Amino acid sequence: MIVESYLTGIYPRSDELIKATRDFERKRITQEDLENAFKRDVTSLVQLQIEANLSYVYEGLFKWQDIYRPFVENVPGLNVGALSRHFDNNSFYKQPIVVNEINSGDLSFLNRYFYLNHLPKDKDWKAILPGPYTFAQLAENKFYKNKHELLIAISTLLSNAVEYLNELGFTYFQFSEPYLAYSHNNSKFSKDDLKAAYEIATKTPNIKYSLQVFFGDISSRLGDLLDLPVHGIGIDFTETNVANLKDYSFTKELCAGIIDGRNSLVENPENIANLVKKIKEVTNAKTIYISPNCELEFVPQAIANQKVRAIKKAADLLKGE
Amino acid sequence: MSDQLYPTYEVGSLAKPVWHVKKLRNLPITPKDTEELNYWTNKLGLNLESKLSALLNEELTEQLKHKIKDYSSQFAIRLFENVGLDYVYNGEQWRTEMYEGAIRFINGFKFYGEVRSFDNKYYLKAACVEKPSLAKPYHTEEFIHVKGVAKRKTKVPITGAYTLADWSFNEHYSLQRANDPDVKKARQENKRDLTLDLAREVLRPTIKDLIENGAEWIQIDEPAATTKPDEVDLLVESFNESVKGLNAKFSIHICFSDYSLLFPEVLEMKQCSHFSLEFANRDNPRQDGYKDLNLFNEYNDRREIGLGVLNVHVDDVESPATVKERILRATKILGDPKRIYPAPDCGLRTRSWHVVYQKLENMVKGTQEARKELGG
Repeated sequence: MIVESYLTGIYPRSDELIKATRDFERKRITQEDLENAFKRDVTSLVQLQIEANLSYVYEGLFKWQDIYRPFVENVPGLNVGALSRHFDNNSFYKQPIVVNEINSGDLSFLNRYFYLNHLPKDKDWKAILPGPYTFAQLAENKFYKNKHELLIAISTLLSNAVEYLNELGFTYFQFSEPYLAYSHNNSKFSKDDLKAAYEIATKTPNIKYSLQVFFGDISSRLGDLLDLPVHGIGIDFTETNVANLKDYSFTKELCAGIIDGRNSLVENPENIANLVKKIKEVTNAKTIYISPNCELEFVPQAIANQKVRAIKKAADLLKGE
Repeated sequence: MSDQLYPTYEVGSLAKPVWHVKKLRNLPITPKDTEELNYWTNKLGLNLESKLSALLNEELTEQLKHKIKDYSSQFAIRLFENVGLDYVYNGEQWRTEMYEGAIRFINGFKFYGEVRSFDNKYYLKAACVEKPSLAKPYHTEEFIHVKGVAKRKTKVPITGAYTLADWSFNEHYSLQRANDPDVKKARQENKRDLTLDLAREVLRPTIKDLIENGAEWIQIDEPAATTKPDEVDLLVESFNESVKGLNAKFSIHICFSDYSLLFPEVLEMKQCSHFSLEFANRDNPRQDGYKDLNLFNEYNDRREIGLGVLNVHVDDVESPATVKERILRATKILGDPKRIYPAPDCGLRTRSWHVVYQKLENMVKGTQEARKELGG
């Protein structure tokens, strides 16, 4: 069994960075001071990931106000809409409003969000992007004829973003798709639409892609995801019973969302390791990534840091398995 | 029900005056702050300028903090009374915030730090690390103070057990089922245990103490009510447990939610006689914001409605005509004017006192016009 590890979404800001964002809004510090506070958080997180020996390193998405916002604020054709609840969380995103044709001709704004100079040259870089299906479902469409056309347009935007970021050095791309498993949708998604979206979004060759599904149990429709042109599927094991996966032949890498991003309780490394072994036994996946189920920003940073260290300890326990 | 048709009330929070906030943070009070203070003392006929100005120059002590909160509370009560509301409270001037303020009085919780609500807005989030128990009934002193100041009837807002549980981390109960292979079922049971323990061990004794001290109307605030649609039955059970064996008027406040998710479960909330709901926010020329009232007809639910007629998220002041039209539209849907209590959509703490005053004043005027229309 190959055991890998990485993180899967927006990382919580430190108390210092939270204070800096408030101080900036109250005009107590300068833009440069705020930017330095962001850089300090990026530096600490990169160091933490190196120490935890994670397989891929990312910059934490500290500047992202929500997973859709960099696109919504910068891409012509998209506008920032009303504050809306993000699935069943006590946290909110600003709804993307599609007011015109989505134009991804200039994606240079992405440089402002990724802190490339702070990422280690000797590690592989992971980029986390919104999944096209969830993005399209949560957007208000005021331009395209129907949801399908909108989905294709958003998939094209994300495909271009992947290409752009790949040229900057990112080699692993995660698409976050909570909509697919969210229990209150009863996994109502169109397999054909999903396939069409991912054929577009993953067109840049020779890099790795994963589809991270969370906030629900995808087991009843996992078969529809296993056909998609991605290398890995992320499953939320805080919502999905391992036994429910027994009927699937898992040919892809399995990103095991074992670390609960929505509870402060820090997982016991031995329990994590045992669950990984059980997942291996049931799915026969050759490569398993130990990861959080979702973004860790639902817990304070001090807790998130402990969870990252627990991942390392669990991976160490599994060496030689 | 009240004697008068369309009794009016406010839902809960009001912004704290600048002099209140600054003094509690030990920041200097500027001439502009004093000017604002004088404006409101005159406007509300409080005649407190000299007394308060002297207090604001004193060194900050715990005793002074209490005095500042008391005065702030008086201002809020008078504001609500001056605009003509029938039921008042103190704009939650004694409280820090609806979640943290309550959790601080509950044993078994530990604050770990801040988590994001949205953008750069964060809230302190606690974890339940032991079975919860009440350190002390936490609204009684406040209620006694309000009762001593208010000239109108009162309605006491209190954060509900479901929302307290939903907004907390659940460690204690999660540990008890850590090895359960059915992860979803375990999570649901953990949530249920936490919520019902909060209802029985915290909400019920707090409400009981309020009633024993004279509170006649308790409003249980549940902004998280429909966050997890498959837990509405738990919301209902926790409400019932919170008021079990108690005798007063009980209402629930829910806002910015899909009300269709509440039915049919809320029919089982037998001791709840009143639903305070947000509607104005969703009412615009493209959409009838009051159409969800039909749900009550559909389920033959004849309970009172606290009708949100003021959008608390915008500074635009609703005209009396708009308020009147909204009340009459709701009356037409519900068929019984006696069930309707005009109110803001939610607490008004995000608006300035100037805007709040105008909004509430127009709400009362619009209500009076609606009464006239019905000959009441």
